[in-house]
Amino acid sequence: MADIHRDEIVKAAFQHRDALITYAFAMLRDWSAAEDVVQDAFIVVMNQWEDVREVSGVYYWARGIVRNKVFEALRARTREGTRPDEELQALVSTSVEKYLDEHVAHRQGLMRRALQSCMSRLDRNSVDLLDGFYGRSHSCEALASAQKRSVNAIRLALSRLRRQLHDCMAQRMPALETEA
Amino acid sequence: MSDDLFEKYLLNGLSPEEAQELKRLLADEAGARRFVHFVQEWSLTADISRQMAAARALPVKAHGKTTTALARGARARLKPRGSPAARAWGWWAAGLAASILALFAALASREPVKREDAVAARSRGQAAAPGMTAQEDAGGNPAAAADAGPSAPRPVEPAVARKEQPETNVIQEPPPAGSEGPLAAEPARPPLPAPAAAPAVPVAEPVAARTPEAPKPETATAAASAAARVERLAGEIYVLAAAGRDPAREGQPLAPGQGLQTVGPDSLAVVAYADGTRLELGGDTTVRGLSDSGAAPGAGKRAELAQGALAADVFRQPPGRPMTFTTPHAEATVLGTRLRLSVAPAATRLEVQEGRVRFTRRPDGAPVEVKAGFYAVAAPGLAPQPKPVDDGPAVLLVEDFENANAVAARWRPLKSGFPTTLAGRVDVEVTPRPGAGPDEWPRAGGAHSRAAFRRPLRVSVDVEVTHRHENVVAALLLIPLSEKPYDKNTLLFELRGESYQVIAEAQPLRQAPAPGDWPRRERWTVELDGDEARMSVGGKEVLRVRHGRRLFEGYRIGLEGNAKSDAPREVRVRFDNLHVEGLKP
Repeated sequence: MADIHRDEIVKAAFQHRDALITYAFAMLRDWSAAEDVVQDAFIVVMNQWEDVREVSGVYYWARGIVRNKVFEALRARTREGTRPDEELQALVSTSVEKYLDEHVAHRQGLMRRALQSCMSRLDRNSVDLLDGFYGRSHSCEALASAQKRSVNAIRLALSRLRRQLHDCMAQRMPALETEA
Repeated sequence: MSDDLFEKYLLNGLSPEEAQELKRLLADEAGARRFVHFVQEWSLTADISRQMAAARALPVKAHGKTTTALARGARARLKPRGSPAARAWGWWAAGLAASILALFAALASREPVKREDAVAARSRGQAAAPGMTAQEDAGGNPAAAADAGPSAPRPVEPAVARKEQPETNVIQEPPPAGSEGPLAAEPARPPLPAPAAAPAVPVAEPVAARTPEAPKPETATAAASAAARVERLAGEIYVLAAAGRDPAREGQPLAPGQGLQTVGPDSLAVVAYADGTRLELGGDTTVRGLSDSGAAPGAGKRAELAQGALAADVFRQPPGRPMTFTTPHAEATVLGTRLRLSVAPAATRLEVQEGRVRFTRRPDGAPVEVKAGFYAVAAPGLAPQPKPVDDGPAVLLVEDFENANAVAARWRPLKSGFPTTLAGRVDVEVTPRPGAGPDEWPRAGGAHSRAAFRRPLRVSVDVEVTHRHENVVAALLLIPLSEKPYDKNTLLFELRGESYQVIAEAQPLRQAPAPGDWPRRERWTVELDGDEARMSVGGKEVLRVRHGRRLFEGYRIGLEGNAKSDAPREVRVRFDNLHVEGLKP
């Protein structure tokens, strides 16, 4: 019975992985660091699942763990000499905690489906460009050099892709929300 | 404007003035919501694009019959034999099988995604965005697009091998003295380059004129009504008819309804229609029901691919009389194009090299239009979805552990550890031994590769663990070429109890939960690329770590099982279907 409950808790936490990474990324502005933080948080989830009584409360519980990990990481940066804009940091934290609520986190699952559908129609070069910029955090300059294109061409291509994907998602979301 | 600010914030590029502006935006509910949405889109784009880039051509071998084709392909790669064309067919079949299975694995590892194909999108009048594949529409009329295809017969390219890495990607290490296994046997080596395309045949000339010898009366009758003829053979080939099968010979006419069967992985047959359309059948392939209505009214050309793989170069067909390929899972309708079609027990894969093909899943008919440079897979429960063809990373080793001599030459079983057998898979019996201390890790069982593989590399393997226990471990090791296993730069990727871990010098560098059922069988993929190592399970990344270890030119691969004394008895850790690929530096 305990195993079943634990599996439910872990599964529920995993279902909110996207939203948790979004939260961490908004705060840390470093994709790898955000993933690391969420991975660490999941270890805590695995070890402390008994703290949660209801599966319905998992999102806020897991987000609290991620929040602690995020602030640990930010404190470590401060120790390394980075001086954050604390006011801005606090505003971002407040915004994300307030508006990335459970409903929005759930909706992110639908966003993923819509975006996957849209991105599956992109050609390979476009996916590589998105992967380089968003997934691997390469600069436009680095991508321009790698692809032997001008920096402006890369910026333009990214901007166009972003707009296309945004529009494509906006088209698909209503149908997905109706299904859900 | 706000999006620019959000982007600059995420890229750490805000000026003080812009930071103030962003604060004003975030203080407002609408601005804050917009910010959250922007970051959601950003992070999803990052995650999905990386998964898509990583998933391309990730070779995954499933279990069951489909493994056979891949294994044969693997053997063909490692042990080239037969005609060059036949050898290349082995490559292609393996690639097809891997692609199909990779797709299934990817689908199985994520939640269902309802996708729209280009045809459906067009039918609803949705404009495909620039850069998306649906945009290349010849006036919205697929038939017109296909009609605008080639105007002259073309020779079939019998086999196009995947891009190969140079042989130096495998670093063959001489075996240490006293090591097990006959090293004189075949070393692991990358496949030979693809052979040149077969010489073009002047297909425009009449079939009868090219028949090498004067036909016998009955053959002449058959030729007069022939659907096609056998143009070229290699290996064991049969003509299939209602009455049974007979050995085929070159130049033999094939009557309507007859078929052709190639037996053996290296066999090959080319069938030519009178109009120049040519089909090239790979090894272990069965095609039935060849027919051609010719210029007369009828259904056009037809061919049923029952099993195996074929490449087709279809000459431009008359309007209303397309060429139709049927398989157990799908139907491909062609007006003139170059394509490849393969059938595995569970699915059919179509790859289009030129033109467009209407691809319809059977029996319920979910059609898509597949254009040049794209492929689609049809299977029960899986609607075809065109995807870009992937030229994929170079395959350095495909190991199914079937050939005892080759396995002995490539793998070194671990001595003094848990009993290990290397027959069809690496099977480690990690039953605790009496007398072992409760906290001791005994010597592991398993095997290490004799060869090292050049970095950056990707290793994929099926891993099976029969029991859930915190002190039972299945591990994949990347062992630097010039170091001993478990020295400080060895990286271990392991499943221990309910966690995945990356370990170096006995210390976990990173952990992730491993939810799932037991006993479990899953496919791991480990990538080592620069100072970053990644581990994926079932196509989904579970760990990514900057390992901080010294990098080496090449790495040997270890497959190990281990357990402490408190583990249950009769625990098994097994590995199978190992792929090693060289990644682009």
